[in-house]
Amino acid sequence: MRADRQVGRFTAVTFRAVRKLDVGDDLLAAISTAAFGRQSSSWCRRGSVHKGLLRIAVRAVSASSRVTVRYFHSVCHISNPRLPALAFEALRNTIRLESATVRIVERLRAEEIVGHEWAEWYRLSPRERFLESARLWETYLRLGGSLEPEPDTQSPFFDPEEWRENATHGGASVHILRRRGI
Amino acid sequence: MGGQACIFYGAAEFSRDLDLLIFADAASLANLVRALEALDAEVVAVPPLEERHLLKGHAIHLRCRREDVAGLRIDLMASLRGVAGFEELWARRTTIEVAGEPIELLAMEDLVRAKKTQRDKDWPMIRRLVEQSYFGHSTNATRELVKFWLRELRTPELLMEVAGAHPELARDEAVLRPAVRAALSACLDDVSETLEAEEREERRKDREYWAPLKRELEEFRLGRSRE
Repeated sequence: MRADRQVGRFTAVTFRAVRKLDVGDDLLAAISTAAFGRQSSSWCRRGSVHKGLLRIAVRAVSASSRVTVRYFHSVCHISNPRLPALAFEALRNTIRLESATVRIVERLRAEEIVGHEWAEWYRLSPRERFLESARLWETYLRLGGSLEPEPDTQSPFFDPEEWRENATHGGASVHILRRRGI
Repeated sequence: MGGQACIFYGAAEFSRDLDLLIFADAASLANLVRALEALDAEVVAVPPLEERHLLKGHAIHLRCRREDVAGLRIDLMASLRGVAGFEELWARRTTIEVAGEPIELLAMEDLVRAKKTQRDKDWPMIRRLVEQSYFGHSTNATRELVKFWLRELRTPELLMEVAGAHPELARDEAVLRPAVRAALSACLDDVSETLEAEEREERRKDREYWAPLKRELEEFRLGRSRE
């Protein structure tokens, strides 16, 4: 069961331009400062009780009315029940936004931790993962990929002499036609 | 026990060799030698394929020469640091079927333990394996699974989430794992720091475990170069 709770919604009056929503650090710092009076990557206080996770969705609109919609999900563990409201205020005061929603969620989604690509991979069944992996292998071998493992210099078994003796040098199917740089 | 097991359990690895964990007794080795002969496999590094080396913890490295598998590298081991003995591993193995053939894989928890090495590349793999387990089963978790996550999760946010959702089990695990203790106090920075310390300690233990074996490998190499 999810316990999402929308805390507030805000419509800004003016917009100069869409800020490049590289909001990660800026926004986190602003919210953190608003919430705790200091910047912290984890927004937590020692001894506090875990309550949930903070998720922020942001929509921004440019001055020329070309609507740009971007979402930013920030995931952090929060310990202060007032944090969503504080975060919302921080958003309103620091980044001019058309709207922002701040929610507490009970459970993280894979996308929020590992991104879409990995989340998709996690959702595959073992059989599907094997098939995808086999497909990658076929391409690799078609390109002339070698079966020789790459040098594993951190392995306790690694012996540079043995690796040089046994290394093969590329496959027959790929030929460099032009190469620039180093 | 390597790349294919990782793919099965949810991580991804582009592994070009085949890692096999074997039961190193005379009968088993005789069967193994026959199978390797069928693949036209030869040992390509020290030590030679002998029971005593396997039992000591060494790996045997081979390359196949048979046309349909030409170049394939096979690594054999009979024991892994920090992991139970072969019989116990065998009892809780996972069996899958690939192209009509049964393939035996290390159980997920054993694979995770086996990956706690000194190598950089193994640590993201552990993280992926346990994350997949969590995201795949977090809505229908058994008590055993929750305990496994508390023992092995390496993603600070998720460890905090599990500790928050299962505080009693987390308090039990916190006695053994500082990262769970930090997760219970809801401080992400502390969880991250304790997980890093945990990794450093495991890497140190792995280097310590391998130090005498590496010296022995050097002696094997020296002996080989004198021949």
